[in-house]
Amino acid sequence: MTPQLGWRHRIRVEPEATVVVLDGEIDVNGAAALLNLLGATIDSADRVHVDLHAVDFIDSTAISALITARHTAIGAGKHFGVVNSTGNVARTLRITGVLDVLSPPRA
Amino acid sequence: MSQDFSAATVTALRHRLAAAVTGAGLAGDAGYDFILAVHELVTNAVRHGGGHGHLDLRRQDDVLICEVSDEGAAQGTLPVRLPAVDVAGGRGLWLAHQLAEGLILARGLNGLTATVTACLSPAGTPDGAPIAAPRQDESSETVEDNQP
Repeated sequence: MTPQLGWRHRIRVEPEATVVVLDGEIDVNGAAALLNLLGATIDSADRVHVDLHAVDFIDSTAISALITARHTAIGAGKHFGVVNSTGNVARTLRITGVLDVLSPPRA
Repeated sequence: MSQDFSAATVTALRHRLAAAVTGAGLAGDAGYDFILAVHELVTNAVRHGGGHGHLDLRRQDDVLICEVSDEGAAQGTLPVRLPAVDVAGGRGLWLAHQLAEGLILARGLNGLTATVTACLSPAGTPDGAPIAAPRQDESSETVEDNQP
């Protein structure tokens, strides 16, 4: 990862889903790498959650990456959802109207 | 604050802007909204406006004004409308418009200049009178951040 990426991640395999735990700020310099990571995770797991609790900034390009990843998952017959967004990140998702659609479907 | 930017400096620019906006007294949700609005304009300049641009932040009375100019030659429409929830892109200008108190887009010969504003006075203050410390006398001043 390049230093300018702005975010880090770790993968946690839980019974319910494979969770991509993100940490940092996701903007135009990190959105493409996020999309790659989510695509690779969706390839290798049937249920993928993105945990945003440690993310304190997202912009429209990060939202685009999340929506695109959701399309990829749906296209592959898999589940994808965003969990644990807080503060301004949750507010940004809510303002743009995508919070509900990105929330994981109830199992 | 007056600074050139390119794709590589978008994140650092946002951090400087955040320090300047907070320093000017715009904090909390209002401060965050203004920073995200400006960031979306900067991102737009980097992605669609020739890859680089210039940001100018100043204060006029109780209004913060941020001007983001690029050198994008691209013609065509500027999508400010919010796309459907399942469409991946196209939310940047809508977000800037939604989050700032005003958004002005002006296309000139050399590119696009986008201006957003935020009011520093709390809504409901009679006559916009200052409610805290006395201000400086200049009607317009450059907002500087305190980053080393």
